[in-house]
Amino acid sequence: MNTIPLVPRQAQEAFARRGDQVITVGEFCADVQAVADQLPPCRHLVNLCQDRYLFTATFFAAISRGQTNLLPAKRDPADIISLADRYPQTIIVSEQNVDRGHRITLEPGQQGTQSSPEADPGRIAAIAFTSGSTGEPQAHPKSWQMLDTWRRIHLAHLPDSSRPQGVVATVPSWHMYGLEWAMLLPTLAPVTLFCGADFYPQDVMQAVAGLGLPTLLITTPVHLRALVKSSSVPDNINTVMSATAPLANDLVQQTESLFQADLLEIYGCSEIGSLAYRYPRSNEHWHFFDAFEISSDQGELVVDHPLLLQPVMLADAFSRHGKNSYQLLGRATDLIKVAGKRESLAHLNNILLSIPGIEDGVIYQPDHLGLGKSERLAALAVAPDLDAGRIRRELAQRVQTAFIPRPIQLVDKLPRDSTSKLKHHALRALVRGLAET
Amino acid sequence: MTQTAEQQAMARLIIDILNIDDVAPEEIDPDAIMFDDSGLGLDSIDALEIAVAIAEEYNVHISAEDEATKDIFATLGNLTAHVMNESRGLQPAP
Repeated sequence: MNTIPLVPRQAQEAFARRGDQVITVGEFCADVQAVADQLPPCRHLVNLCQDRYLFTATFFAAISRGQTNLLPAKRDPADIISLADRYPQTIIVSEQNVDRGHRITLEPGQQGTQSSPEADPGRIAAIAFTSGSTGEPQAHPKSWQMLDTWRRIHLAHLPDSSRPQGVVATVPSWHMYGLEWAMLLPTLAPVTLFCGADFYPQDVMQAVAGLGLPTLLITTPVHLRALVKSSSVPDNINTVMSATAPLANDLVQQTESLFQADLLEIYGCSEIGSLAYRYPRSNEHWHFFDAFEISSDQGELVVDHPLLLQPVMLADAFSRHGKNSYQLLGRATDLIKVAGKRESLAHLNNILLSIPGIEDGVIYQPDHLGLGKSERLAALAVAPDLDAGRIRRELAQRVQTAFIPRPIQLVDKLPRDSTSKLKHHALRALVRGLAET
Repeated sequence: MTQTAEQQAMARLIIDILNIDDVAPEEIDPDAIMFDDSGLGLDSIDALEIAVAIAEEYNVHISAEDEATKDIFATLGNLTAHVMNESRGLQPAP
């Protein structure tokens, strides 16, 4: 079987910027080889590198060795160890000392070959994990052929794709969104990836200024709101790309007027990755990437592609408005998303009710009830012998930090109806009443 | 755990911005770890929101470039000390 190059670009082109240094494609390929030489024999690898450049080099080093990158949704030490125990011959790597970790180092100016490593297309290059409705992580394997095909699809939808540009990402590369656009795309497109501090508004300002190129900003509504709020608006941004949660209309308008840049929104799912796009200022409808076949099954959209093992039913409901033009209606199931992480609301509610001392309770999304814009969850609990701090600590031991509700408010009882269902309007009335007291 | 006036003001900012209504500002121990499962259980998105509020309130811009960002956010005491240090000599944002 023919192999596929990891970085099919010209060796002398710029690939990344680290501090003051520009790293060429050829130098990056030598670094990938240097990391690959340090990896012990194994079948799976959990890449915990904090530095974006090292993470990227290690990701491709593993693929070049025929090893599979495990991409856990949770990165707490206990979750990493439990994942490593579930998959045979798994190593943990980092540039720092971590529990059971294999430490890698990368000296500048590696002398190795500057040609691109190759990989077998049929090999599983990565496995992404999502939390299923039961709370057990679900595995989504991705072959190297699949990642190669997806990056070509993405390149076709990148604005100004043939022109050199910078890329600054506020999202981690181990999340599918960051992995596809801030790690795979630079291996194909003539872009320079910024590798350095890129999280806070101040960082983004300095990163864009340091690149000195028209720049693609890969970000999320949360970061975008922070940038807008702090008036941190770099003047060299060409395109702002947002994903992981829908952009509110006010944020769309503020972004376009402040940044003077195109705003491109991406929709995807962990099972596949990025699937659809829209330019929300000119058209609210979503367009799926041409390569995917979209069908409808009893009102729900099903996505297929020859490389997928099976078709994927989307968790969101859409309505169709003409050929390849869809309006996003919202969650079709009870799956919710906070800070880019997915969880089942029913599962979270079961966890809340399992805490000793809680007689009744509900975790809800205030914005779903039309109560504010916060994507954070909130909770009401009937627990005469507990206080909110205690409930928060109990939840913190059982769920990811992003899903801990705030506020947690204690009430005498919940307004359940005769079938013990808690209707939206009753819940909304109770929450409004609490806010007024 | 006694808070200074500056720490109490910072605690109020954190509680307001993160909507933790059930915690009183004076309840946050200046030396307790804020970003883990036992304390307030804050995460990186909270840090981002706090950083934006601090920029508005104190005109101090926090950067992840700073090696010590993790330490700065570790406790209420550290965060207050860092912001006070940085803002010394600067007028508060209007």
